[in-house]
Amino acid sequence: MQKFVYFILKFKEHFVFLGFLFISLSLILLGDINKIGGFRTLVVASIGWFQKNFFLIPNISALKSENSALRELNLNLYQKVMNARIAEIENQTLRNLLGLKQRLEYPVEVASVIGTLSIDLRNFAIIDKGKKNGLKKFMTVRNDAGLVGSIALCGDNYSLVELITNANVKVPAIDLRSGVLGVVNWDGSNRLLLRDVVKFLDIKVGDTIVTSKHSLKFVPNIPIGIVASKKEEEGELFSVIEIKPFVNFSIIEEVFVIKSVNDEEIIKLITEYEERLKELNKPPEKSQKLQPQLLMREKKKQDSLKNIEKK
Amino acid sequence: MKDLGVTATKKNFLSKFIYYSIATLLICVLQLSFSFLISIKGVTPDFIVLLVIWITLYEGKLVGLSSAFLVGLLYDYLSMNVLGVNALTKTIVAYIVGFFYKENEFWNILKSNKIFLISFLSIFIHHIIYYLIMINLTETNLWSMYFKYLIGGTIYTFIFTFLTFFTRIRKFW
Repeated sequence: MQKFVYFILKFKEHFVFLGFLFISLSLILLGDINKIGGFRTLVVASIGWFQKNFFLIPNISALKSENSALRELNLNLYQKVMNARIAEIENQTLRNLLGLKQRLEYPVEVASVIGTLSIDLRNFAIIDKGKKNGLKKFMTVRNDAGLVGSIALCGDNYSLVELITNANVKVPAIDLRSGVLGVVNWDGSNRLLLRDVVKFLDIKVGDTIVTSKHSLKFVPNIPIGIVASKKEEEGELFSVIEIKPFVNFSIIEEVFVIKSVNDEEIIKLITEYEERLKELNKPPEKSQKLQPQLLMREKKKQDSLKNIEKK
Repeated sequence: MKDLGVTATKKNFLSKFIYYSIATLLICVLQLSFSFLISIKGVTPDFIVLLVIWITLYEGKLVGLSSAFLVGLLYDYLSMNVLGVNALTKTIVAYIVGFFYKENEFWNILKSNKIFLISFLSIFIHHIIYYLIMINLTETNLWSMYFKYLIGGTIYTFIFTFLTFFTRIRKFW
């Protein structure tokens, strides 16, 4: 004890200095520390440094609670993984049972919409990819939301995309829930309709409509929209089903062109059919007189069209 | 004889206490009310550091530390600063100056060149710590402001310290 007192007395100046430092720092900490930004920073930095370097014993209770929370999260995730695996196996089994093909993954080309165009009340979008990028006529165009249209004309560097918001575009579609088939068509007055659906068929508001595999142009299973309303008018055989499209056609910026087309022969037939239709729809010239030879030729054309339709 | 000696020491201590208290009050008033008259671009000399150096060199480390702490605390209170900032920095100054203290050597130190070293060193360290604590972090040119007050304040205070000691040596007062 005497030694201790002697030690303190020997270094009393240092102890007094440390005492005053301690009191001063305590007073500063008790005061309005926000007034002195530099000191606040020093304190925070010092505490952080001390905690990092010297507090080796962790907070056990905090670690316990964190551990239990992580275990719970792990259990949930594990359960989800297991469910996904079970679903995958079930799916595979059912597919095998039904003899269905595996869904194909198509290669896609990303393109930017660089402009829009209207020709004869038909709406088109121009994209910055063409034949050089491996694009072809009739390729399906979609974006992240759903179906946009198909390529109508293909240049070397640019392509013209015919949007589904055209009255003459008909998209064979299917109700994902009930499997009811129909044709999606724009009615020309800001409405996308699912046509050719008989009244008694099972279609409900909120059903998702996708492209069907019966389409010659469009790749199957591309989302089109959801059923917004269904009306059944008296005396009519078909329901009036309105679809709300997934795609916002006023702001299309990036699209994906699915690099898949039907058989070349089918495409050739469609093209031929469309050209003949155009010829038939041409009004007769005023100066043109009725000639039996011409009439016979027209008759033959119509017959050949019927044959194509049969095919 | 012994009682007389103790009484004389007590009287001496009391007179010194009164003397230093008056000096402290005067310097605090001077610092708070008149230093702005001689400020150069916001930089003012710190007269309280000067007082602390004087007391520590004259009276010793222990008295110097105690008086530095009390003077700093009083100045914090009068200037409405955060209590403890000046107490801390002035105590550090007294501690540094205390290393140069030698009994009955005050006038010799004052007459030697050592006083410049002591003054400059203590003032410089005081300003480093003081402005590091008091610096406004929202200042856009933080470091330039810091060095302005650090260098400017040190030089300005040092000039006044030098003048004070010089005039005292020459017995102008």
